[in-house]
Amino acid sequence: MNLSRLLHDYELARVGAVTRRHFLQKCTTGLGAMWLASLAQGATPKPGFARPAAEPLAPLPPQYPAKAKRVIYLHMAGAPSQLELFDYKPDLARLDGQDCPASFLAGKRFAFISGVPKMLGPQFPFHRAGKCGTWMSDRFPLLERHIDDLCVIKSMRTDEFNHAPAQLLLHTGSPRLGSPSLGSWVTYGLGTENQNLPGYIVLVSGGKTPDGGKGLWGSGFLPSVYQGVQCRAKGDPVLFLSNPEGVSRDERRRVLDAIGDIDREQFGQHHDPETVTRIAQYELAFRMQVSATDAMNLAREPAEIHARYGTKPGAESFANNCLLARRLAERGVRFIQLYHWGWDSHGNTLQTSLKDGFADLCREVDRPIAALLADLKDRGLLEDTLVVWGGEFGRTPMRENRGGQEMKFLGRDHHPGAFTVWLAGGGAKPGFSYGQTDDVGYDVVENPVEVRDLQATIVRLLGFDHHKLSLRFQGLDQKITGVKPTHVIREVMG
Amino acid sequence: MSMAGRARSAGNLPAFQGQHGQIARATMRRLVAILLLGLVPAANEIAAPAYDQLIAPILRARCVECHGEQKQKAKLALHTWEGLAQGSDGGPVMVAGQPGESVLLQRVRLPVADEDHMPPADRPQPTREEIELLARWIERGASPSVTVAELQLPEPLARVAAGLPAKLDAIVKAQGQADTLWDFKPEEVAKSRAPLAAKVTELQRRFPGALNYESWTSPALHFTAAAFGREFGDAELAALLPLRDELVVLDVSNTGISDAAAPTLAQFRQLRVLRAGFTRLGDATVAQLAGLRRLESLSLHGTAISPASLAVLGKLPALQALRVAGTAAEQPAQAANLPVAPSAADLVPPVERPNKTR
Repeated sequence: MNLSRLLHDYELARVGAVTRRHFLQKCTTGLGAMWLASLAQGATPKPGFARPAAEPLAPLPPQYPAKAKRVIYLHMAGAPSQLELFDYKPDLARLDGQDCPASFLAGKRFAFISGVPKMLGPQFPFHRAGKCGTWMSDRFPLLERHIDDLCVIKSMRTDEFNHAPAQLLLHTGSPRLGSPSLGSWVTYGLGTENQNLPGYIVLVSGGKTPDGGKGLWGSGFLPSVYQGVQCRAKGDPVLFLSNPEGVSRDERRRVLDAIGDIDREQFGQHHDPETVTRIAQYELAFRMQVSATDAMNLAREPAEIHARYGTKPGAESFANNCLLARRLAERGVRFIQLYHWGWDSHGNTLQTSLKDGFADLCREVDRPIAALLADLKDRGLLEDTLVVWGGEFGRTPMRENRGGQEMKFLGRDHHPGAFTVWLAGGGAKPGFSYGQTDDVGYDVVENPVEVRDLQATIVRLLGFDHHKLSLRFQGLDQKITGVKPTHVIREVMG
Repeated sequence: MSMAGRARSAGNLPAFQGQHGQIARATMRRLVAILLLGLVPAANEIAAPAYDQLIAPILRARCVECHGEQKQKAKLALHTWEGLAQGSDGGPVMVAGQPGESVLLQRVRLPVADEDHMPPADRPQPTREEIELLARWIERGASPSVTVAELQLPEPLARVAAGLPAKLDAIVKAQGQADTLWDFKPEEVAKSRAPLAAKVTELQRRFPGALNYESWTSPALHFTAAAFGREFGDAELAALLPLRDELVVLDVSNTGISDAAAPTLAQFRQLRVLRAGFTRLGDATVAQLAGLRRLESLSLHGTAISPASLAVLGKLPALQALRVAGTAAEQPAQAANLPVAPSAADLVPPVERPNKTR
């Protein structure tokens, strides 16, 4: 190794650091003092969230006794059509092919629809399912076997009609980048039960990462130890987790001890909470070298389980991720976030056609979701694992007519006014359907549920009043639900 | 529109219907109530002050969490009649004889979605009958001495009123256990946890992440061995014995415990949830679980238990969910009507060909 180059880099880094430090020291009565004051204020956890500094992921009890202890969130990025899955609209079938009434279009903005689109009836047959009689289409035949465990919310609303901001709003409470995600808030509030794995794990099923980007699992102004850790389905579950060739585990331990000593000294001088995060992350990575590799190893599952989920060894597939989610839930991981992709059924290509690509996606996720629910139930885990399924918004009852032209395939545009989300387990009311949309599924007419209401309800199922799961930052008690009036939907709590 | 105006327009509750010309039916209802439910007000309840009997319990259940002894938001304290009469920092909340002019009722009768509605939308709401009782009491002068009889409640309302104190007491009690912990007093919590505190801390160090209190204020404990797998065995389980009176949830699934753990498990008599799937436990352990009389959920999936265990399991008085998937006891448990659900193997048949992937 070229020592002189290393020394040169070190000197550059040192000069940079000294300059910044000098600037702040010189400004103790000005900018620097203000910055320090804001830091001191920002770092104060509320009663109930106090932990030893060195154990930022130590578990804490929830505010109230709670049914749900962990969350598996199955996000269908692109936004699946509620009108082809759960929101049955026979009147829309009758209107199929007719011009959309002007009243639907006045004052509305669409991502692609222009001029006067045609109404588009449901593309698949519906029926009442299970003992509860919840309506659903024929697209999820295996999930249907769990319908008496699902709590289907048909009256979701959002403020955003483009993917990235809508995903950010759903997962972080703000349509802009920089706010902590739900999983971060939950791991901040509850810590995690397995100190050898991250408390918040993100699994993306190949293809495309969600439009909202990694900010969807960011920690915002919470310490970065609470951000989601994206794990890969093949190779090292986390990049660079294994020791480099020629470095033994003992050697790695000695290196970490030395770095830890330096970091602790640094923390003693500057009290930057990010230093603690750094120490904790190194230690977690060291423990994960053994435990994460085991947890993420699907080869340890028997063949009958693979046949149930429809997994494919080595693939980054949704089925593999559902099985991983079950393995992680068993190991006490607090928040497991799955992203599936491709649900943006505009009808401009075969892949986004309701009759083709959409139907393929339904087949692709039906089995692993059904297997996951069944598996959680077999193990007693569904009692305290809250499973959430849904997209970031809904789709229009009108057929998309991009540029005012009839398109090659059948598809629907983005629609923030109504969509469906379902909950299962973790204290959600089983075999229940909540909220109604109008006769064509355009607007919510009964029991509207805003995104923040859903967040508050998830947080309540985990044992927190959403006002209490907060942190003071920039002079405001920040929380996932923001500042608008928010309602916990007690009707969907079992 | 002024707030009072809005409140009036929103506040016209539908009148209680059906009280005229139905004397025979009402008498019948009364008789049935006397015979079956004991809900008809006794003479001493009718003669009692309506404030003590009805109004204070309503306020206690619906308002004093934020406007009471502990907290006086807007300087309003509704836990005494004097506080109610005195009003808030915005002025009186009640005008004797005029329910429509009383801010208290105006705010309660606003649509729940209104920003000024009370109680806040995410808190439990008073029932229509409770609001009507408040209105009638204010209408009759809102004095602390006016009796229930003097309110001259019409029949359906009188019947509801008779059962109300008990119902509201139950609500207050339930809130005390769960939902009214806004004022979380660390020192009182510490006191209730004190006897075991040192032991809990010691075990939390020994088993990182595994042992936790049920809530900010509860002394009850949950333990999960999820992080430890087979390294957690009978000796480790025995180390939890000092927690036997506080442990309510125990998850030792996928651990190395065996039938030698049975005497330990048998002593955790407060358990509501016990998960021990994929362990070496068998019938010998189940035979010793008969004393877990609070057990609501038991998971023994993937263990060696046989149908012989069902005799014991069938007698657990609180059991609501039994998981025995993948054991020899699965089919017999279904046949014996034990609370088992269809297992994954039945719900999701294996795939015939690999899933289509992109």
